[in-house]
Amino acid sequence: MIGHLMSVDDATGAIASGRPLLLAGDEQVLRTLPSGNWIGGTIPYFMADEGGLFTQSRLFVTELPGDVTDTAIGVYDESSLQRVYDEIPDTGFGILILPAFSAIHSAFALNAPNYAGFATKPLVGWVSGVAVEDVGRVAPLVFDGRTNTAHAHHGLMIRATLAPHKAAEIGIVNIFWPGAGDTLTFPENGFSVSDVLVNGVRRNFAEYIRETGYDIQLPLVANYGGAMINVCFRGIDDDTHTVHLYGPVFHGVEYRHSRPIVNYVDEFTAQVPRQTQGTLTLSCNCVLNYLYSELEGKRTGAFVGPCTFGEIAYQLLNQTLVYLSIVDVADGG
Amino acid sequence: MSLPPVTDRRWRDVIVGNVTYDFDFLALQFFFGRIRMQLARDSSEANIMKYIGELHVLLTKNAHLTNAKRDIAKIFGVSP
Repeated sequence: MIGHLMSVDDATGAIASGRPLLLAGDEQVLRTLPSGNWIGGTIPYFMADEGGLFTQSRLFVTELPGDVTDTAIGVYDESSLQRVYDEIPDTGFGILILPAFSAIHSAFALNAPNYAGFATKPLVGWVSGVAVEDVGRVAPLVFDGRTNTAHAHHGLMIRATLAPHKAAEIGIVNIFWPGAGDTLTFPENGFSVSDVLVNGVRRNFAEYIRETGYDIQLPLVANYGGAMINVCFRGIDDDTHTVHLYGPVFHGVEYRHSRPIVNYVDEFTAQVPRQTQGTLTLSCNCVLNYLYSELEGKRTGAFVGPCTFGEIAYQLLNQTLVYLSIVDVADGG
Repeated sequence: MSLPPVTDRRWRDVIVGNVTYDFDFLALQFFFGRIRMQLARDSSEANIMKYIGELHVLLTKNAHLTNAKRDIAKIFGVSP
């Protein structure tokens, strides 16, 4: 079970079925939909059955599978978001959508690992966005389908309860890997960085990047207990000598610049797990993978979904494919 | 079979890094990614006990998942 790109008419029909839905699409399209049991977020980039594409006229519709026996939708501000893990059903999962560049996006990125119950229950999701040429002009939004309300400063989560003997498992596919270069650490947590410690020596990060000729389409990569976590570059402000990032760096974590990627699709295909077919429920990929790896018209197999401004697998990720599978649980665990 | 009590020495060993494993369960990887940096700043006994408790909860809630079972077996030698 996984979603598909649909016309507005087909999405309207899916909403009428009453099944819980996760929607992704352009703001104007989302605003035309009827109310119902759905949440959505703005984004016009997709990996679809026919390959990667940009569309502002169709929606990506993911229907939660029949193994989901109950759902509830919650609206979160920065304060209530701290309870996000605890509010996921014990036998279920949560799907969270946050609006990009908002305070709640920053709060989750910086603080989620310290929220109560972090990673004890499955949480996936993504960060809504806009066409890249509209960044700074148009606000990314999330939509509460119950009331057709758009939010620019709140997050939305579907809390899903699963049938007995079913469980949700989260996976990621990250083709980036730390290169052999300098070890970078940062004196403070944050999305905007002035200083970096290069092998322990303090430098201005913007100047260091310019001097070394870093390819900023390649992320910084840190090893989190075996999982590779990316931090992507948003841009360099040469006036203030500040580097802006799509996700935060954390004090105390060692980062390296990623090794180069020759062909995203080839490397992605080599890393895709082979046993998720049939149980795959939803996935999302990063808009930077879509743009930098020129995925338009290219296929990433069964892993279809929105290409977003951040991905959530327990915590915020960047430039990473995230997926959720529903698996059988044997009697007696 | 339930997990060993939090007084079992193996909980402490894995939290403080006396023993390390390549974990398969993504939540566990992120958990250790987080506590490694936090223990580097504050390795007090209170913090160690706090993280032992959190790890116990994380594994108890997820002990039915294949990857978590595999990781529990790495730590304790047997899957619950």
